[in-house]
Amino acid sequence: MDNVSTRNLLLTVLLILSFGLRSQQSAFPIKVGVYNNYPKVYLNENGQVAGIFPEIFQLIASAENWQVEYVPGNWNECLQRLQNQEIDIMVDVALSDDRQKIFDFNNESVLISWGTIYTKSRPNINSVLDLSDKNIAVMKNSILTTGQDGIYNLVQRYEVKCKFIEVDDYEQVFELVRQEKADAGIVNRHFGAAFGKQYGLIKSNFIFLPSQLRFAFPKNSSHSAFLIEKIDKHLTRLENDMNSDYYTILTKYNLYPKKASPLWLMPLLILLCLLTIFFIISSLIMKWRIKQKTLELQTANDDLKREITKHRETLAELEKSREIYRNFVENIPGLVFMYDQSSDGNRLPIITTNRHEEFLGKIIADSIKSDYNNFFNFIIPEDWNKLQKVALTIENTKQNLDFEYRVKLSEDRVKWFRVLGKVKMLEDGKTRWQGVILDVDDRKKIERELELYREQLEKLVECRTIDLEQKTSELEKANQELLEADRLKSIFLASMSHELRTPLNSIIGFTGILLMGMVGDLTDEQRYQLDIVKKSASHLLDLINDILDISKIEANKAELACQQFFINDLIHEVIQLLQPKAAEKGINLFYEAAERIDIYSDQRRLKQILINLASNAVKFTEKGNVTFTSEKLKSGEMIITVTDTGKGVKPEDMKKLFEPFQQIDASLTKKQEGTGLGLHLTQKIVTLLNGKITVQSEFGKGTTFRVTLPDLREE
Amino acid sequence: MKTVLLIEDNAANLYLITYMLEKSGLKVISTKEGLEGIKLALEKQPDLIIMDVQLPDINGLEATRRIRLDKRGKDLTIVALTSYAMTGDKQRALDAGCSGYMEKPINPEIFISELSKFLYPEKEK
Repeated sequence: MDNVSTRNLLLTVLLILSFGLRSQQSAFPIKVGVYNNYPKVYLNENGQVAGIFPEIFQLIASAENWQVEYVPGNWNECLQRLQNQEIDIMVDVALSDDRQKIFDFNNESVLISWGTIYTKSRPNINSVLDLSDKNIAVMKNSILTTGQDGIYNLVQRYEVKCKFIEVDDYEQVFELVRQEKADAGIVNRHFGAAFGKQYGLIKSNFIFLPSQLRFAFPKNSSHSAFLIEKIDKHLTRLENDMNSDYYTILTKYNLYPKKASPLWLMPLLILLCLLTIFFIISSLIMKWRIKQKTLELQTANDDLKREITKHRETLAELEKSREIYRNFVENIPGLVFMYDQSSDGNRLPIITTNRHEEFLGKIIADSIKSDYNNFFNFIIPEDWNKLQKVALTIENTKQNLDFEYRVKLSEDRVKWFRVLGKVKMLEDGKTRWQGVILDVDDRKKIERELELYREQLEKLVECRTIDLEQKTSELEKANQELLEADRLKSIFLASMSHELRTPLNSIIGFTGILLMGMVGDLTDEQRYQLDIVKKSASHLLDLINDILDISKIEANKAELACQQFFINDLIHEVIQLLQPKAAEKGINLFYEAAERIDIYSDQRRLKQILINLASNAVKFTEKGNVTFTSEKLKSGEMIITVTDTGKGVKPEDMKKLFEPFQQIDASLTKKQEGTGLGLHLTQKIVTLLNGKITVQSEFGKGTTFRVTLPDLREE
Repeated sequence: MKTVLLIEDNAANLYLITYMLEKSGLKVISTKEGLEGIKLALEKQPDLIIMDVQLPDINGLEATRRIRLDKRGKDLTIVALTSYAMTGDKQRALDAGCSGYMEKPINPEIFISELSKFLYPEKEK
């Protein structure tokens, strides 16, 4: 750094000296940084530094007799060198707050520049917002790029999203756009104007960052102040003289009209420029605002559209439900009604249907069309009066209305209807009636027919009832007669028993005392004959007794005398009774008793049964045994069997066994005594005791009678 | 000699029973009517009364009840002659105050021995 400081010191001294000497050339050259930025600064075809800035500086340097050394480099290198005080002056530096912190600037502007945007195809970039989503080529560290109001800050400020490609000079910027590697390129107005057409690019309407291009000097350089003063002095002079070389140079680079312009033109142009810039910025802001507003409006619009769609959907649904409702109302098999009745009786329909004619006919339908109230005039007055009374009750009780009435459809047609409905009190004192009117004419017709049938049936039933009563009374009479006959029969039987037995008493009694020898001794012949008389009398007595028993049972006159007794004792009694006769025939009587069994029944009747069965068994058995068994079932029933080893019964004769006066074997008849009523009576008595008697027999081997008797104790 | 009062309306039976009783050595008083029977029973105080149930004026059971109503007739032995066919006669006889009953028709072979039970009750015991 010492080297640099020494050089600067020497240069300052020299400059001051030269200032003093005036005509003398400075010993040390002033180092001027240049870069390539046509037309402001560039190397011409001869390799010499040319351009607006170098040429204007040359005018000043010549006037001041300064020795100049151009130090070429790219923009960044140049700025770096200026900062390092490796060069004394840098041309073409746009004035900005940031840069004023690093560099010193002269006070007079050489040129005014601004940023422009070039595109390959027709540009549609009117504001920074249009840069959205674009690839943009820019020059590194240019004030247009990274300056305070440079494009980087600009897009950030407006929240535009785009991509930047940084290169070292504007030629590369344009090259990228030309090759379509970038959508747009940012250059200053001077470069754009000079090379835009050459690269086939088109300038957009969007410009930004107007800036004053001046000379820049290193800060803290001892001779910067001197150089600034000299340069400013010359620039003021040159810019104020319309015929100066300054304007010649500008004209040469197409930045100034060739014709000499009046003096007032320049400020006017600047004013216009500033105005334009103001308008552009204003329009930019306006555009941004409009865009914002548009966005807001768009959102609002979208919301509105959604609302409208929703509204339309709601309307469609409403229409649909209206359609359903309408369909429902029109398809109910009845007339749907809803009307509000005011206190003066006027009825205002709320719901109407198109089906009045279908139900009520054309006359009433037309009448209803002109005034709904007319309908009620067609109701048969008698029914109408009733309906009004019913309606009044319903208004008070809030019950449901269910009423049937007739409507006169035409002169010769009356039809039945049924109205089902409800009433509701409205706030304004009206009553709302709603419901449905049904056509019940067919049903009524059927009801009428049914009524007719019913009446006919009733008449028929009445006739039949009278017949029946007659028959019943006849039957009752017959029954009375029968009962009377039965009573007479019983009396007859009782009398007969007495009347028949009284002479038998004498026969049996006197035969008995004769046979006993009470009267005197008898010859064998007399004894034999008297014995026959006695036996015949006894047989007759048995016969009378059996007939009386059977008759009594048949007439339900038999009385039961029930008691608790052991069946075992009863069977032993019977065996004892029959023993003499059995012994006479050489027949054994057995009783196989497993246990003592008691039963509640009519002992005398049961004994009668057992005697009948046992004596039959003994009677029809020539040899062998007669066996008794007794058994009590869990059900409480008792089973008694009497089995003999006699002749048995042929299967074909089994049916006749219990018939009266049917002794099976005709050949036995004469041999066997008996009334012929024994089994018949036995069966009657068993039935009287609620029992059952069955018989099993194998012809030639024997017979078993089985008697089943219930316990007759009443639970 | 024991006395038997026989109340029986049937002449044949009256004769038969009287014959059998007298042959057995008993004194027999007899009548064909119930009311007369009551009178004789109370007056003669017989050892045994044989009472037929069916009588022409009042029946035997009614006659028995009347005898029993009188203190003189309380302890008399009355045997009813009941009919086999008329179920309930026996019970009715006992209910009316008879001491016992015998079934008609009479079997002469056992008649006297049956009567002895009533005539000589002490013998039985």
